[in-house]
Amino acid sequence: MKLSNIIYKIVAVLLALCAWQAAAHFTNLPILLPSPLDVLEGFVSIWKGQMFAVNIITTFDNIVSGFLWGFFAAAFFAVLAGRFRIIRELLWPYMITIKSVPVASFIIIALLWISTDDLSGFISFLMVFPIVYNNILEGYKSIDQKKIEVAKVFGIPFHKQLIYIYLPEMKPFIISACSTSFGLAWKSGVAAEFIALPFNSIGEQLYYSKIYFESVDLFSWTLILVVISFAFEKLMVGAIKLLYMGVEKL
Amino acid sequence: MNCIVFENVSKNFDGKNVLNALSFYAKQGEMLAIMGPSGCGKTTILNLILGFLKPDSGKISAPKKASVVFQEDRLFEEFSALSNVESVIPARQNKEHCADILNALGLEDLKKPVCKLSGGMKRRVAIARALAAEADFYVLDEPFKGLDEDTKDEVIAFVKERLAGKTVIIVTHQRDEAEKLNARLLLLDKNGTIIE
Repeated sequence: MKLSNIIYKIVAVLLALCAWQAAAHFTNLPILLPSPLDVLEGFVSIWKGQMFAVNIITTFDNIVSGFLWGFFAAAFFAVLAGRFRIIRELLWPYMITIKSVPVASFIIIALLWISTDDLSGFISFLMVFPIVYNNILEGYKSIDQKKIEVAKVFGIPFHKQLIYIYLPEMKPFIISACSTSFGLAWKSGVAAEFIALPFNSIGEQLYYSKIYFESVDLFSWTLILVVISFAFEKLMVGAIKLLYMGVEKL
Repeated sequence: MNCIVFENVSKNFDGKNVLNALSFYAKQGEMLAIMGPSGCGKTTILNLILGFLKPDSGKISAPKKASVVFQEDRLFEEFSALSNVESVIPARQNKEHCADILNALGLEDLKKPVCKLSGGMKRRVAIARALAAEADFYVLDEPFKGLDEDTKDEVIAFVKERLAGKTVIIVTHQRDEAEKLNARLLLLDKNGTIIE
């Protein structure tokens, strides 16, 4: 990223914080809108708390597991669907249902079937699946058929085709799928925790902050969620790009 | 012994007759240069030989294993020149000759991604890839397009030496390229009919 872009982003964040501070100052009702400084203090206090790491690990483990299962399962089915039309047609009703049904309905329905501890992972899986499936299917369809002809003529085996043709051609679709779906998995996973209240999760902390009117904690946990989601998304996209650099050096 | 045979092959595209009962052959170990004006069906002939197209009528016989320089380079752009050439060599086979071929074609930085090479360099990588692959016959579709005159002569000399004794079908617009390769000429008119 260019230095000027970083400066623009920092200025934008500072201006947003100023606007928040001004709004908190004028409303003067910390229970409704605590100031950024109050939230920062709350953040530090949560950070220092004994259960902070446990809360983070519990939520992170659930949601990232669901995300990874959803990502790889969707990628597998997308490639199958790209190759065989029948798979695409058979999966179509599921995709439409998952995309159309509200997350809250899924959470309530899933609560009937699975334990509260596994719910957020399952919801993350469901949210990730159609996005990754559609992105990778589009990527698969957009592969340059002339390169497939090259592979056919020279008898390039499938594992080499994967390295030389499929992965490079699908790179923007894979990165976009990761970047878009992780944010959604994170948000919906925490929403599921908020309803199912798995022990020691961030969703549980949000719930207690709400019922005890701990607005500072509520805002602080929200800030923590934003930071983790942003950091992990960047980390993941960076890791994929590094992986690609490694493959391209073969 | 004939290696590639076309017998009364016809091909239409959207009602337009591109090839009309075309018959020709290429003997085993022979280099055959197909020449003719744009749109006379030269690339269609190559696509038929390679099995990418099916004839509307007639019979084509060609061995299975081909190696090709496509009209567009069709390289794996993100990968190095060496990696592109090695990609067509089976895992069990020795790959040492790949670097030698690239060097002989005047390419030195073999680790540079192909997308960062000039058009002429990319063309030479495409030629190197085709020459490195073991095949029953070779198909070269305007292989020297985009090369400057000095480089072109060197590349032609290398291709001629490397493919000596192999069955080769080459499409070109330049008669002198065919002559330098000592190729037998198959001249088509604009209707895809053999005139020489």
